[in-house]
Amino acid sequence: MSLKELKEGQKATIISLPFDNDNYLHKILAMGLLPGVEVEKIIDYPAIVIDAGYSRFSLDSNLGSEIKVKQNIIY
Amino acid sequence: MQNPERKALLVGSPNVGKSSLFNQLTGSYSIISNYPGTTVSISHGVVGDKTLIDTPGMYSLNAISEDEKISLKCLSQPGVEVLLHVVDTKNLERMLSLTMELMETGIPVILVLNMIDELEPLGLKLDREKLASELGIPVLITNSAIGEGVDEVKNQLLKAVPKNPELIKYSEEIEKLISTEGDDVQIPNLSLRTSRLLKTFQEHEKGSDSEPFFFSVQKERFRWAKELTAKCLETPGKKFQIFQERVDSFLLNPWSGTVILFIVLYLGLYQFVGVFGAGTVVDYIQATIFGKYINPPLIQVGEKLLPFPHKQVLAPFSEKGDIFYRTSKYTIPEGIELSTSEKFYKAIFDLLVGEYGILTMGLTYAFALVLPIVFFFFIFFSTLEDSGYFPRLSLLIDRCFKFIGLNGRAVIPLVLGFGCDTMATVVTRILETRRQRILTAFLLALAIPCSAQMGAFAAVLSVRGSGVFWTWCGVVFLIFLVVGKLASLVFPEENTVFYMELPPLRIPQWNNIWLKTRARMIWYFFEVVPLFIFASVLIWLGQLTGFLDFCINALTPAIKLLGFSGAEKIRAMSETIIFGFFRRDYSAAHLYEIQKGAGQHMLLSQLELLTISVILTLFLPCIAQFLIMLKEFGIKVTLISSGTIIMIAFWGGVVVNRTFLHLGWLL
Repeated sequence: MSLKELKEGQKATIISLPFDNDNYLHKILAMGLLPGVEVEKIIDYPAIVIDAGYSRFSLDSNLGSEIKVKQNIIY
Repeated sequence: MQNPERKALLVGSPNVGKSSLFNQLTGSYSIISNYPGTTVSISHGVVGDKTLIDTPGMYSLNAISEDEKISLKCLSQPGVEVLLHVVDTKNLERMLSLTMELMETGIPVILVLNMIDELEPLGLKLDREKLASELGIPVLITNSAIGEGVDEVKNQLLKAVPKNPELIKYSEEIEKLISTEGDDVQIPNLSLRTSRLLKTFQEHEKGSDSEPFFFSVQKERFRWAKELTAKCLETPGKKFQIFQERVDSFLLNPWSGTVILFIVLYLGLYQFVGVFGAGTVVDYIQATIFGKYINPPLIQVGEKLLPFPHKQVLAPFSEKGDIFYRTSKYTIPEGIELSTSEKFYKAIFDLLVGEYGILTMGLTYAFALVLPIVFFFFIFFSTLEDSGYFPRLSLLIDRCFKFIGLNGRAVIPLVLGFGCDTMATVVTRILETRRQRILTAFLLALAIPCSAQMGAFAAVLSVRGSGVFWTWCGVVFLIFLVVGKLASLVFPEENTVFYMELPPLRIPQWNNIWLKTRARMIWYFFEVVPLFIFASVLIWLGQLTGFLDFCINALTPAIKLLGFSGAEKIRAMSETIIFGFFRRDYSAAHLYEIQKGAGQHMLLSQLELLTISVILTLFLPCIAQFLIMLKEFGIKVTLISSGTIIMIAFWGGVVVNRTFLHLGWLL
């Protein structure tokens, strides 16, 4: 699933980035969102807001749909 | 003497305070912004016996983006003795994976834990000794925003840095894959291990494996980082305070967010910058400090040293409360012929303390009007910047800005443009593409009046009632939208994307506001103020040589087209536009003079006032902005956009004039 599809309040780990799109990739990396990083979705609209560690980032849905994540399962 | 061969590199991901640490270490000043990606060019400086190099942002050595490729190149050049890895301490866990990568290169690493002041509000506790002993490299603590810990970094740079200790191994699978690479992949200055890893990444980058190799390696690095962080950084249960959470949901909601925006603009821009700064304070500096104590003695000295027959008159708009406070104006009694020496004296008098003199107009204008207004604006801007509001505003407004081909990020230069278009043109560097930068700079030059110009136009337009002022605002805003939309259609861009870090909201700190305002004022003082003198000299030369008259006559047909009639009025309007070449607000001042001082035949109708003001507002802002455009974008872009702006300004004026005439408004 993509970061865009994640719901508010859900946590996930980044699996893959759009490696073939330099333009997008650059921006995602600038936020430190490398594969392996855990994120939590905070807000969905007007733009996506996520927390990664102690930082908060906003990104639009174009970028959000390109970041593949795996939802963390809470036991 | 520093040896150019010995280098220390500052590395780290963007927005961790690298640039500000660089400035603290090397003692140079420049504006450091609170948004990622401000290190555009690579800065060099000297610390002790080494050259310190600031690299663009870096997230991983596996260079997938342009910035990183440059950074990797910096790393592999000869003479790099030590790497200063700067990290944002609160995000240690996420940042340590790069530390590990850097240590793998074999170049000695010093870890600099920056932004240490942010730990306490978040309830985090750091055990530095533990971290240093676990990593086996020097670990230092800094708060580069206020220079804390910078001396320790300097001292550490002077010492010989120990070799990096042996590092952890990856899982067998990964180690096996790395070891299949030969010795021929060696990158200069980097360890064979790093070289092999990078080569393996390249080969498996676009593979169809279910899990990319880069992800597998990163996963192990993050696991290692997580374990290490758990030992050294004590974390509280909840991450963000509830308060932060609530305020953010309020600010980021489209409805409540818009209401807050208007409150901020009203209190900050209108009340604080406009009413208090441009009103009360400017009034005092102009009328009392310059009008009473500085300029009259200067003019008297000028009259003593440069005698010629004339009579000083106080301009009719030298009353307290006038935004354009003129201190020198004289008439030569009729029937008097000046001798050659008197003509010479008069020319020098005009240059220094005449109506458009360097001291009485250029510097008085700069110090009594523009600098105070800009100062108040910068305080307002820096306060918002320090509070962390701008990134939230960017998010809120992103969708609207995409309409005109920009994205939310452009909010920052556009808002700054209300303080100074010239500075804002430089700050467009934070935008990602050249197209976005040019488009933003173009809109800045066209439709964003800086605070001094805003004040000037507000004063002029209010002479004929506030209705004209608000119509002017509306018309300029509409033109901004229409031109922005057209420009985005003419120069389309695929996939304009928006992303931005939202730093924690906080109560603005006086210290930070002061530092940021001061840096901006210093910049403004050296970049923009000299041009006020330059403008005075040019106007003086123009008058002396008759070139000004030539230009004024050349403009006559255009002014007629705008619906003005009467020889005197047309001449006055031409003059006004010529003055606009220097600064938009010079022409506003001229207009003000005409309105206040002239007889009935010169008085402009409301529509005439609106027409000329719209033209002048859309006009190029000032010489400084023009020169910065040249510097940032080159001669071709500057000339084309300037030409376009002049055309839009003129034809925009014609359209406004005809439309209102047709509708019968403001006649």
